[in-house]
Amino acid sequence: MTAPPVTETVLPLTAAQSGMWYAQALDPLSPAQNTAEYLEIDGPLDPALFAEALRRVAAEADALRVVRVEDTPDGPRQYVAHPDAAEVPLTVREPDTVAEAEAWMRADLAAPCDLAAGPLFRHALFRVGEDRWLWYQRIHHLVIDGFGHSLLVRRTAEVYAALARGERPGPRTFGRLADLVADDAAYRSSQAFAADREHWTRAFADRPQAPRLAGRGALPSHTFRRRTAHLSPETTQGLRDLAARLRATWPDVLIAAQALYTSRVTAQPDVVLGLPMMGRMGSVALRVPGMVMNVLPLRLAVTPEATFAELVRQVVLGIREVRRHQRYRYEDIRRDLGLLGESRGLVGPLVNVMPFDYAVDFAGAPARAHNLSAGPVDDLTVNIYDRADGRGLRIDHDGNPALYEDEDLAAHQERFLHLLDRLAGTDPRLPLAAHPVATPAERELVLEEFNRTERAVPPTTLVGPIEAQAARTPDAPALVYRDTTLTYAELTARANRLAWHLRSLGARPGAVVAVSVPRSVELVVALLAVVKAGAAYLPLDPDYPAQRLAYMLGDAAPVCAVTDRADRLPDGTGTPLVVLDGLDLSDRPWTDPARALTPAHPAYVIYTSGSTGRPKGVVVPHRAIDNRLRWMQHAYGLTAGDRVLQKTPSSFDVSVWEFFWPLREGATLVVAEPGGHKDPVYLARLIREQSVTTCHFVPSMLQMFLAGPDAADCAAPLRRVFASGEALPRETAQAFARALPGVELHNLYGPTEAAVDVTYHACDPADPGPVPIGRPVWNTRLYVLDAALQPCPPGVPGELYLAGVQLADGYLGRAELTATRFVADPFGPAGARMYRTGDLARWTARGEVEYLGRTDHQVKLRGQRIELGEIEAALAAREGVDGACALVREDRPGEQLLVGYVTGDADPAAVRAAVARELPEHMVPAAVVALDAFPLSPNGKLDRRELPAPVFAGSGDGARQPSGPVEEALTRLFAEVLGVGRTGPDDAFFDLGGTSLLAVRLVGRIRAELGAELTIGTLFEASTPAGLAARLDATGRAAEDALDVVLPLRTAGGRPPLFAIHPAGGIAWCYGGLSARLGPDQPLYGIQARGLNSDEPLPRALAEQAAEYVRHIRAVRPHGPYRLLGWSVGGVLAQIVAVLLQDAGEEVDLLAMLDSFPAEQWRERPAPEEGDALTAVLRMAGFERTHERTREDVMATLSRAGSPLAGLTDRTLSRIVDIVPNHARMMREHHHRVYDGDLLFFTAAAPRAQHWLHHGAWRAHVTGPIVNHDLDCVHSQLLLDRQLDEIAAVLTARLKELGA
Amino acid sequence: MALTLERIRADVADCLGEDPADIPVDENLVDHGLDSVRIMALLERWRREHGIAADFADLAERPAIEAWAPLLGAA
Amino acid sequence: MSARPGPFDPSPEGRDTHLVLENAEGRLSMWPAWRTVPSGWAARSGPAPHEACVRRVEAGRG
Repeated sequence: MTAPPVTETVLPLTAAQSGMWYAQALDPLSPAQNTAEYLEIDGPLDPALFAEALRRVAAEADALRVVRVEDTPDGPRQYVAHPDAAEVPLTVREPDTVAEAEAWMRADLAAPCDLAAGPLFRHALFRVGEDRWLWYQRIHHLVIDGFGHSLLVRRTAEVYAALARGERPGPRTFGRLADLVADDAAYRSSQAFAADREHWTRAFADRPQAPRLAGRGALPSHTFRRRTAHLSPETTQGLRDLAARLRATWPDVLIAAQALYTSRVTAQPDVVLGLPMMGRMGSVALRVPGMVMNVLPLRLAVTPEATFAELVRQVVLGIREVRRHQRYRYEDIRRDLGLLGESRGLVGPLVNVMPFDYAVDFAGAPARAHNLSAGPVDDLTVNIYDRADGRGLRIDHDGNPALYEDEDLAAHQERFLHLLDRLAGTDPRLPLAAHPVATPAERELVLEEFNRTERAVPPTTLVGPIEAQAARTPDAPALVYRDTTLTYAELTARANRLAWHLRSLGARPGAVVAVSVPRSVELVVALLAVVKAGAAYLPLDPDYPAQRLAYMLGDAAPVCAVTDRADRLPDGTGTPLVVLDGLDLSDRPWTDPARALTPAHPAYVIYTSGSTGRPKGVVVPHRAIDNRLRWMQHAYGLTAGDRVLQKTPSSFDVSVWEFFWPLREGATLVVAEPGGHKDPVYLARLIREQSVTTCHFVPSMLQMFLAGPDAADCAAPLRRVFASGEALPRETAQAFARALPGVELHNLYGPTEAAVDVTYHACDPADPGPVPIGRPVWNTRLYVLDAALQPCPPGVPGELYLAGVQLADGYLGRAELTATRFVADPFGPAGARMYRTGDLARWTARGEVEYLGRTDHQVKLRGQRIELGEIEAALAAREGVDGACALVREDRPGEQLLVGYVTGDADPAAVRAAVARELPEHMVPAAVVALDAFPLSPNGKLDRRELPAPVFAGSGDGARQPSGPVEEALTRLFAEVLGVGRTGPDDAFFDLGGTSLLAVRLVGRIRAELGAELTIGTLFEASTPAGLAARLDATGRAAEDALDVVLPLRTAGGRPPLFAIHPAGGIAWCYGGLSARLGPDQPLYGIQARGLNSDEPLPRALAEQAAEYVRHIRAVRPHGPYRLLGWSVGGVLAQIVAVLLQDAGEEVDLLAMLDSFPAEQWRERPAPEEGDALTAVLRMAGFERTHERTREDVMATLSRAGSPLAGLTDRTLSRIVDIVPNHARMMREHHHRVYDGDLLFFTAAAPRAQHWLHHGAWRAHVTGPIVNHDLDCVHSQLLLDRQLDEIAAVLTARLKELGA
Repeated sequence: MALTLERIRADVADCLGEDPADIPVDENLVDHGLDSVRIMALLERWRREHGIAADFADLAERPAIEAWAPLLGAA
Repeated sequence: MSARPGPFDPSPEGRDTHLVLENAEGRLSMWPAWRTVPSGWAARSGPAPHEACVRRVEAGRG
């Protein structure tokens, strides 16, 4: 290192300067640290004299002589030139206009400053008129701050004036930079420093969230946006007067106003503003042009009931406290709090008050300052200048362009000015709630304009239009369920007879009738009958725990309950039962029952989760649901040709329109199987087969449905799909548009408390951003209100309130709950009510609402509304539980998991089992975790973020071994899908963190690997590998399409597919295990014998059979290269297929055989008996036939082993009995032709009776080398796991050589 | 009319919204809530009513009543 | 999501924060005492602590 020249002084940086140095070092190309302003000088100016004045000031001010800043091993150092060497180059220009000059300035300002090279400043003088000059100065923030700027300007004016008068300027008044550095060092090693640190660490120990007007933070940008406004002199004076009355200063009032604005817009009652502080009071720095300023956090509590006077007082006292600790650096506070590492800010908007008197003149020519850049803008800075020029306060809103568009800044500024106006003219002793933050124009927009939904509707009921429709089209199909179709007349007659019966039991307008019937024709008849009788129906999900059903029956006190079977509902509730099974209604009239029903009578009562631990019944009147259905018909126009899917459980209010809308319009209701709503594959088939045009999905289910293989096949019948129940992700809407082009997707929103839906939005896949929940439906008003119950302007989040005709009456028998949720509406007609949703939302500029989340602990899990409080109450009620809490976690993206936490000495598994008996399935935590104590935040509240993720571990090594290949495969698949180390055959899927989404994935894997057809419902019923294996045994009827010629085992993947041809029994399920081992990129298709699921004649020759396979293979993959494999007869067929493909000019690059031998080796041997089909079946499952004599014996063996083959139907088995000997015959008749290529061969090398079999026999039929691998097993064991591992390893290596 | 120590103390207390008895004459006024805006306001008032000559930096450099007295001609 | 009390929630200190309003149909509404009473509604009781207002509504006394 060379010694610095004697003309330079080297100084360390102050802490304030270091902050700027690091900021610049982090982003060397950013010009954001440049600060700049220009002075507009009105009058004559001598540029040469001005340059001399500048030079002299530079000689006095160390900051202007910092020539560069270099990093050294001891930290960054600043190099200060000797005063005699002060150089201030001054650019002098004569632009045509001020705008041209400003453009030059902005260009200069946009260039980053190289601190290591310098210079750190620039001066320019523009002559923009005869006697009008602009003095531009740009200085790096490392050496100067706003107050420092003012010192330099004042001194320059002073020196210039002296020179102009021909006098010697007065003596130097500036302090030295070295003093500043020494002062800083002294502070940092003082007691005061330690005390200040202690103060700040304590004041912000709970690390409050920084209030961001934009709703998020961003990295600093290189530039900022600015919008300038002037507060009128009247308002300015009004604020000064107000300040005086409150014994405060006008900046205090402005800071209080900004706190109020920020609190409302961010919905945070705890607001931390940033206050840039001059930092020089009582310090030598007062006379040093340099970088001293600091930003300090001012923390304020803003509540609607507090007055503005109180808020101003809080500001005065708060700032007083801040000043006592103002030397402690902002960066240090953030570091102490651990916010630096998380890139988290501490403060929201900065309020930068600049009261410096800029009334300077240059030898009599007055000058006015124009700030161009006050340094970097992380978020939003409100700069307020009191220029003492009688024009009122100037207010600049500077925003980070990454967070604020110009119109955002304009909106914030305009509202702030309006608010200041209001505050200046309002009694400061009114509650803050009296002040809206929206401008009057915005208020008109969000309250009136966006809510123009008035529409005259006739005073009808839910059921009237259905009866009118039935009379118009009695013979039209009203309902389809399985093989049953009812016409309107038939449905009406059945419902009417039951309605008359219910009337005799007390059903009438105002009464409640419970209905607990699984989805079926009877369910529709029952619901219709209840409303026809004039009563309100109460759906009781038959799957709910008995305790919950009993509670609802007791709470709602229905006059009777309709069930399909006698044992459907718990005993002892005292509710008279109407059991449909065996009920003879033939003596009841088939005509519509008379009833004195009005639109005000309740139509249905639906229970939702209640936060205090008790579910609550929402009572919805006819008027509300009738309006909803009339709007829906107007919006979507259902016709007689439409077929509407009914799949939503009747206890969920979406089902209301599914049931009744089609019946009001003459369309057909297609009713899904019970449980079918959880199974995407079933639903796709139903939609296709039943030509469903209209259906509903909860978005998470829609996502699963779209991910299924068959969704695209639904595009033809479907016209429109409705999504509601939870937020619809944009990705799902886009996936929908891809899978179902031309089908409309409508996003609807509404709570049960407002008749199903109150907003609607038609999805356009091209739209960006979140999918809005949309606009209000007929006769409905939406309010987005802030904490003061004042309307939020567009873009500002608040709580969503609903008003209008669709509101429910309230909660059955819960006056207090009704009075807190259905509250007085301050914006609607006199005496109107509004419903408080608890949902966070905001208006878009286009008048649609976006859903943002919840304000409380209610959560939605797969569309179902859950009050965590209810789950917590259930957990806490258990013996041995001291404290409980519940939350929904998302530790793996997209996988939401409900988890309960308990303290105390209860066994968590027992607690979970106990609540499972009380709560419906969707409310039972996937795991209950026992804790010693709940994690608390510094202020003593439960810190939910610190609750640990549940650890799911299978019983693993301690578990019993799986019995049989199916159980083994299932335990493996469970572990894979659940992402846990190992599972045992008796581990339950949902105990190990299984979710519905994972269930769909697991069922998909089981289908692919085991070729076993099962539904999601099966998994819910039998949730362990052992249980599932047994279920596959018992009912594991393979799906019809699992017996088609082409069995797609894996369709995804980028490589050419491998075609695996069946062994003698004709079924290719055995290759399922291969699929998993070859990896996700390798498609695999099984080829199966035709006729397994039909009565088609069997092929007469292998050549004919192979030719047919070629057609199937080419339908999957029209051109080569082809890759073929076969076990046993399958290998022989593969060779023939290969030859045929080569005949057609196609390339075959892999022919692999698993213990297959050419025809001539068999020809002389006797063909097997017919009964050997059973041997073949056993072999396909991996067994040699030993003691099994009859078909029953064979099936028993397969059952014990958990083979899916045990589920084959009698018809398929009898076909196999034909297929096996047919293969044996054809094998003996075939004459091989030559395949041009290599053969990859696997021999089952254990000793066998047919010792003559040898792969060498293939030499005559292949031209290339034969590569053989011996496996230590018999023929039938080739596809068991151990061998499969080896085979797959060889195949993988070979496929890799072949490339893609 | 010349400023007195008691007048200074009373004016400072007034702009801080405090009782004069609570304002010590030898303590840093920053700790009692004095800021640049209030200094400017006091300066303006004293210039108007008492014709004092001190400037902002003079007062802000040592913000205590005893230190101000000589600068404000009240010593 | 902040768990702070909303306009219709109890305040932690149990202060007189709420009113019970009633409209012409006899429907009751809890209401924060700091907000102007909407037209068509009149205060039947309060200001009183939230809990007390809830109890009055439960008892049907408003």
